Amino acid sequence: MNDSHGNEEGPTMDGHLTDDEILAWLDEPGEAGPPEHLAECLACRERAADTEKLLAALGADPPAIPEALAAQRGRVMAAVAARPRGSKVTAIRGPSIRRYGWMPLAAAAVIAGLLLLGRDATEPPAGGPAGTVTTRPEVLEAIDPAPLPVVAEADRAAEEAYAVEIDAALAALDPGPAVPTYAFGTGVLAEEFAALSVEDQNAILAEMSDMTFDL
Amino acid sequence: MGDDELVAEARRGNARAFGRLVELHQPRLYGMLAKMTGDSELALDLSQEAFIRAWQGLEGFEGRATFSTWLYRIAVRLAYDARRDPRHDDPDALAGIADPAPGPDAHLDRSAEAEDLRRRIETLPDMQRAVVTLRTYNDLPYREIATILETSENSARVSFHHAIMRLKEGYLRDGRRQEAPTR
Repeated sequence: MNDSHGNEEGPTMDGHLTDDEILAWLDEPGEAGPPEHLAECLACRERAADTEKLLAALGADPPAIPEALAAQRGRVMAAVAARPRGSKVTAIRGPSIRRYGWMPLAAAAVIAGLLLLGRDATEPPAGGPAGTVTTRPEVLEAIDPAPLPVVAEADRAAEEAYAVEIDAALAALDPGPAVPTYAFGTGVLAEEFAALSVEDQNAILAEMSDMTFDL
Repeated sequence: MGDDELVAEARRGNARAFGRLVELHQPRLYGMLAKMTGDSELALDLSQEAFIRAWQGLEGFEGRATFSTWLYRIAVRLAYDARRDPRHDDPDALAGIADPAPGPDAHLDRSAEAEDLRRRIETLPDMQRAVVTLRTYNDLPYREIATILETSENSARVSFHHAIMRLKEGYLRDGRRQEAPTR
């Protein structure tokens, strides 16, 4: 007679528990408790302990890489935000970690962060302390599910913000005294040269063409 | 908010709700795939793909199983496919990844033992690898494992027992057994 595991029931010929019986008890202990034989047999207890150790090793956590998981969440959300449900899966496969390393994931996480948090960073939530960054549901819900050039949008926003910063920094600089500029090679101030008649300008340039310079 | 409510919201297009589902299920899904494939980078790729496919296919999720069962089914299928893809054939992928351990000696012992076990798991047929992982790592009942693997409970149970017997034989024969705890 076979048990539910496809093995013969009952103890072995020498009265010990089979490996399968031990495993069945460890795997699904139930309410009946351990087989009585275990209490009186050291050999079977040791075999049970071996099996238990194997099961524990199988159930142990794999090596953890939390930073990769965090980056992956960002990447998944960037894909989710960029693609409507029902579009072709093959079109949204991201770069493979194995093939390209971690950088694409990190970049995607940043992009997703910009997408999801960007507007909130400048608007403190009602009742919250100024400068607190939070995610409002409507920000995510407002994301257009149509295919978007996510990277391009994010880059453009970043570039525009950077340009504004640069303009402001330049405007804040002290311009200092005006530096006179000269019409090239003439020794005449550019503004004065421009004010001359065409004939006079040509005359000056003709004189210059006959000059020799000791360099 | 539980999975059911989050799934309902996500089905209405709420990306934030889906983001919460990703957050909730990602660590265990990644762990399952890492155990099943023995390759942490491949596991990351596959779990990412599984979530994206889940998002894409939410319309087809009818709620007859739980979201996690449905998600795991997607992930297991991806792992099966990846095993048959020669581009993913990298048996040493886990070797270089740090495994936080209390001390250098313990680290070496545990890493060697884990590596040995990983190699043994790789020799198992697809079904047995999946059952062993879902049962020992994810601690799922056979009923749910059967749903994920689209088989019967009894078939899942038999696969598990065959796999453990096979793993145990080599695992103990090579002298990796340590002091057995007393009951």
